[in-house]
Amino acid sequence: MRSIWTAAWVAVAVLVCLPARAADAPVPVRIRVLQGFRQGAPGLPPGLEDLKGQLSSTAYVRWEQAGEVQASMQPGRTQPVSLPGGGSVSVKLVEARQGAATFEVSAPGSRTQSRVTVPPGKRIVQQVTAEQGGSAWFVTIKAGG
Amino acid sequence: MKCAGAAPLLGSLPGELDPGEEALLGAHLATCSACRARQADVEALSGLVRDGLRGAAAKRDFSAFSDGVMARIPASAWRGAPAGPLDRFRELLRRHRVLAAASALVPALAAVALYLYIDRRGGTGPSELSVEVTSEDLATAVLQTSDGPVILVGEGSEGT
Repeated sequence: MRSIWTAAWVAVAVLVCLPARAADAPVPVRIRVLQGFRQGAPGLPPGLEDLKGQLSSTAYVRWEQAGEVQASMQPGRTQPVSLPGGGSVSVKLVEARQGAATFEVSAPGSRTQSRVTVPPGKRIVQQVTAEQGGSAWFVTIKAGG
Repeated sequence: MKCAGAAPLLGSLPGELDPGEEALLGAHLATCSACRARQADVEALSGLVRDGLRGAAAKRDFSAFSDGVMARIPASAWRGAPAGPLDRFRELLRRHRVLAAASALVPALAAVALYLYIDRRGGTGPSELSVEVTSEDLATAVLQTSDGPVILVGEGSEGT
């Protein structure tokens, strides 16, 4: 009977530990670095069509992608992202649960910090530098690649 | 009653003699000083013996007596004794092992289900959009779109 009790409690322990293990699982994260311009021919270059819904809501009409980082992030990990202008942005995955992810984005260039939780399939677009000469730098972050 | 008949009755404890014997002994002692003296000696001796036995008994420690007696009774002697509630419960668990394991699993699984349910309900927070933005010296704006939030910074003197 002792073995049955042991097996029962082991099963319970496994069931309890599974959600915790799932919460610590790495999450694929896609980070893109964009530059937005106030002036120019309106439109999105190939590869940025999926961002149209968000980018078209801003005052910037021309967009260029300057970089991309694809990382497998575990909760608590910070991913530095370099900006072509010399600055950098820190993207930290705070937690990921049931597809939703919480990110902290620290942009020293604009002295801005954000903490954003996005549901599955949603994306963060954040301006990370103040506008200079009619353009500004942005990062887009999407969990799940 | 003569002294020979009264002698066996001397030193009797209260209640040992029937009323007839008590009456005869009393009448004899009233008239016989020798028997009264013997009666007094017997009572004194009896008192001494009683006090001596009590003193000897008081010197012994009987606190562990009952435990010692119980310990010397073999376990097999209890086999026929009626089992207590705990013994009956153990016997029940021993006979119905699967049922016992299931009874342990059911509340545990219920607790796990409750945990997952609460976690899932708590997960309604992360599954909804949440945006907090702070900026030291720039104004910030958050645009909500169907694809997700757009966080903008602009000229200004305060952040949100």
